[in-house]
Amino acid sequence: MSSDNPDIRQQVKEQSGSLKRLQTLIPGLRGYRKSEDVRISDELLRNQVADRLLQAKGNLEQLRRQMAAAGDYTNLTLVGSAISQVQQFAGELRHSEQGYSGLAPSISITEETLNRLYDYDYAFVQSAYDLLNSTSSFNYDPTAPNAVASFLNGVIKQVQGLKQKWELRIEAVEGILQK
Amino acid sequence: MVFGKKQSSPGVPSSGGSVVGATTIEWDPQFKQGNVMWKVPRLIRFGDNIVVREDEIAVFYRDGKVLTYFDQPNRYALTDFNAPIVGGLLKFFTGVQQQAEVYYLQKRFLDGKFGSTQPYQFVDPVFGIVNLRVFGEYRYRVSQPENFINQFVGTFAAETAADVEARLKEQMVILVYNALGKMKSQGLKVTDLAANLTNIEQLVLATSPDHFGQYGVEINKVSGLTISLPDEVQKAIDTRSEMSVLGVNYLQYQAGQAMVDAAKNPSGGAGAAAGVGVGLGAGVGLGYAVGGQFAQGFAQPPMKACPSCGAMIPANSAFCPSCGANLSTAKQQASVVCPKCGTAVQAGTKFCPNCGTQLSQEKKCPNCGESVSPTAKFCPNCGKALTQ
Ligand SMILES: [Zn+2]
Ligand SMILES: [Zn+2]
Ligand SMILES: [Zn+2]
Repeated sequence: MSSDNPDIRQQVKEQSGSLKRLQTLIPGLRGYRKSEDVRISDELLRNQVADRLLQAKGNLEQLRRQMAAAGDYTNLTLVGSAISQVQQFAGELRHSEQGYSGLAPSISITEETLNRLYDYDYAFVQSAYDLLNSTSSFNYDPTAPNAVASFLNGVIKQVQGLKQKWELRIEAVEGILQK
Repeated sequence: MVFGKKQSSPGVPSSGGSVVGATTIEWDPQFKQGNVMWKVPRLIRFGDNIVVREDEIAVFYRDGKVLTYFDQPNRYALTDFNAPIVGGLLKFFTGVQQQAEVYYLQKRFLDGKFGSTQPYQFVDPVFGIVNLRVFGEYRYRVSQPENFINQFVGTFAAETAADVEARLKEQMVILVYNALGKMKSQGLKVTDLAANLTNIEQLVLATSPDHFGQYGVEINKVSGLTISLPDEVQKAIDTRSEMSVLGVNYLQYQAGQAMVDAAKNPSGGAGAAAGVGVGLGAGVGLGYAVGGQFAQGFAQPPMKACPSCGAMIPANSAFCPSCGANLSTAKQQASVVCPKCGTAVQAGTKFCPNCGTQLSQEKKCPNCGESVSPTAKFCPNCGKALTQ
């Protein structure tokens, strides 16, 4: 791409806005502009993701019941582990300290840092939806315990990826607030 | 009482509270800890104030059924006809001098313990009928206040938290027995029980919604499951697993035991040298009768002292025949199994690369040396009970 022929697609994408993309996942997200908005947006986002995680947990519990009913005990402890990890992270999201307004009463955020934050958030929320989707679409087959095991290991990896994205996001938010 | 539960002091009706003669009804926190339910010791009347805190539900009950419940924190005055929330209840109070019972429930998860009063008869292909007793801990909460009160108060006439818990415990034991029955029909043997405790816990959790849902109760966790076997069965299982660890048959095992006893209790000798002598002598004598590799091992020097218990043992032993310590360095570098996800991880690793569980506080079975989960009550390898 030469400099006198800029990539139009990139501009279009930027104009459509990271926040808008994020709002397709979390309608009503205000977007961290003022300290009060930071608190509200943060809470909305946390609760939204925690809700998705609890739905995923419900799917996994359903799977556990199916396994128990089928007399398939090969992966019971693994599904138990996946359930407790999802539950633990959901609890962390919902109940950890909410908002950052107390830390930084006056926040000045540039458009660029905000967009960066929205990108982090988008990736984070999107992976919560991915986790939910994979637990919703899994079809249990009692004759294929290996498939169950690899599915559950995949779920556990997804939860870990989600946690990592969450930590990145916290760093990003805190980085903004310190300025 | 367990779990720091506060009981009522003498003179306080039912299980406590500051309501007698007052128009404000609330659950005194001092009587709340660890109790899932509290029945207000007098009937509620028009004009009373009901205080409901963040973690509480107030349920109104009359003539065998729940009228309504308040699960949002507030002070509810039963005088305001316009209040939309108490409206349903007030309709009930208007006109006639009707009254209702009030029960407070906790919203939080509570911990409880369960244990069998009657043994479970497990029919094992080798041991025949084996009487099992089960113990464990569980975490529960009220998930549906209406079902909870209708079932416990309405159906079971439970009036106190203790009544409720007694019934929950009973149900937990039944679920464990159901799980045992299911797994038995899949070929589970008594010798497999120790290795399957977490499986059984998960099976209980998997079936709990079907059993506890009707009571308005959610079981969130089952932990510390212990299944105790009769002494003679436990001893037989221990012997069998020790034999398989040592790679000997029963005769050889018996011979080894005799030698170990002899080596440990040198009669008339002095010091370690005498111990070796007696041990060797016994080994040679019995070794001729048995002729197995075990006895040969003992008959052949060199010997060394077990680093764990000090007994004199063949220098090339992989396991100490006296205390069971694992002496092979190769084995010590082998993998351990993550207690959470079951992934095989190299020994010495601090965290499971699969699920991130911390593995550093792993412990070893004092009987067979196998790495076991820090929370395990029994060694999954040899079945020996582990003291915490
Ligand atoms: Zn030893
Ligand atoms: Zn693991
Ligand atoms: Zn052991």
